[in-house]
Amino acid sequence: MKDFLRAEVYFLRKDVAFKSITVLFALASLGLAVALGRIGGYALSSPIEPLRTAVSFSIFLYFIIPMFICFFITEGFEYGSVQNIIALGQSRQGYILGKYLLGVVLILWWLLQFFGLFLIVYLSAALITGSPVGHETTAEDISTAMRAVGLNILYLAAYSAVVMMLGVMIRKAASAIVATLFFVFGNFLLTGYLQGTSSAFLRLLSDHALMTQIMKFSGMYVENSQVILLTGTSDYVRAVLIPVIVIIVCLTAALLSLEKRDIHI
Amino acid sequence: MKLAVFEAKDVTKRYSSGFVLQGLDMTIMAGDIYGFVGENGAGKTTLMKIIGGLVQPTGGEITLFGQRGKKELRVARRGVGFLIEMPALYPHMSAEENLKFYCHVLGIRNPQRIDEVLQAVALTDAGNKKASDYSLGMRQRLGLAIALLGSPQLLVLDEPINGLDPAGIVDMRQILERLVKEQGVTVLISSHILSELQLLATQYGFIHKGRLLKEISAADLLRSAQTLLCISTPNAESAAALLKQRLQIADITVNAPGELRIPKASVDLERLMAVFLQEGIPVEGFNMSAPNLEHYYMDLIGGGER
Repeated sequence: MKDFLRAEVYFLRKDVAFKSITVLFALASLGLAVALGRIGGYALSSPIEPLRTAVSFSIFLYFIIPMFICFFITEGFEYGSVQNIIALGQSRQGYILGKYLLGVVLILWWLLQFFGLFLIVYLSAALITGSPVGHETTAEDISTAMRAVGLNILYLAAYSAVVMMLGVMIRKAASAIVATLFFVFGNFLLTGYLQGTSSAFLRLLSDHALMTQIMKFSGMYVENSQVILLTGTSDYVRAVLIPVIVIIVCLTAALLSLEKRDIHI
Repeated sequence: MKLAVFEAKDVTKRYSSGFVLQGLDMTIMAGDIYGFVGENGAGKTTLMKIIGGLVQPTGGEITLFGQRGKKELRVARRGVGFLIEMPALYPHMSAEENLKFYCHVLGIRNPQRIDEVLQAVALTDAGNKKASDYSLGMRQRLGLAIALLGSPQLLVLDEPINGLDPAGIVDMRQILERLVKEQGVTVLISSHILSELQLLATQYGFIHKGRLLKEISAADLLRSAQTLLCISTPNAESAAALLKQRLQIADITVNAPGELRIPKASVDLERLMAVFLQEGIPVEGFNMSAPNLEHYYMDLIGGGER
């Protein structure tokens, strides 16, 4: 498994898509920090305040990261390397779990890069421009930002698990990408269009959709002109349980699919 | 005493469309170059994929280096190099980078190994070139280099000379011969180019419609088939009738290009020539056909019945 992970890290280091997304996220966080500062100034009520601001922009990560994860899981079938790797003694279970583990590491890396760079640029700009940096809301900002970052990691991991399952079942990069797009935008539809439906079942589906929870903890979920946030223990338990269940179900399905089916390139 | 590197016992693979392998028994001994012969869809690639753990058999059992069982087979596969169908290469990586990727997979830390395998397949000068810029022959050789990375004791090669030019075919044969001679590698190889396989293999397995019809050594194959005298003459049919009558041989045939074919063992050559001269039968060409893998295979599967 360790050797396989090393090989996959080597693949990523040579992969143009991975490098491009890393650059894209760096530019996005840089551009966002500059643009927000120019609009609202760099005065801060706490040094962690920029992080709290940045998490509300994390929604666009859900368009890009799942797409890359989809490429990453299907590349073995596309180029045929899965055939060699399995034939060289790597277990199928190890193959899937290794890919997923690296997918989660990629999520951590990109979130760290996106939020970290945003925070560094914002704080540097505040120092350079001599804007005041207070400490009044530090504790609250740390708690809110950490909760949001943690939930983002969990939800991106859940998205990756779904995409991984689709990739392993479909095995063709182009078709898997289309399915991933359907899943990502389908989630938006579940959240948006079914929000006010009269059907109890559809309403339940919408309430428990991944995107509904993401929008709630990102402070973007609006119902009857009111922003709905996660409040209370039950909300948080639900927000954690939903992605955990999705991860378990999708990874199990992906594992079973790869274990049971023959590999033909 | 030679040891069995691979054994298949009653291996069956069934898809919804039907059987691909049916009760296949097969043994590959250490040091053999096992030529796997069969038509498209006969089940050659399926068996190779079963060896690689890519296809799971519906029934039966395989043994690799004496190991059986899922986990044991997985460990044993570390001693096998595979080139099944097209080589699995990353087009955006160079040959060296592709090999480095597989070095990581195999846990090989010695960077010299990449140079060694590139040298073994005569790709040293093209190591920095991107795989997307490689010709088909170079891609096949790089695929073989990947198969060789882990210093395998068994090489499983599915149609490795497909699409190669004549020089590439000769190169591939020489590489394989060198590996067997110098490193004692056992090879399982399939090819549709039977004349080429005949130059290489020491053992043959003939598969037809999922069943292994026969396993035979190259030496036994040579012994089993008869050498034929092939004589070109303008009127082969009447010449054949005349020869049958004069020489009292029933086993004279005329093949499609109009050549007389006479088993060498059944005729005295001087007497045969004397009859030709006495009867004034013109001879346009004369040659001896050596025992031929293609004929053997066609006879085995029942001539044109495929």
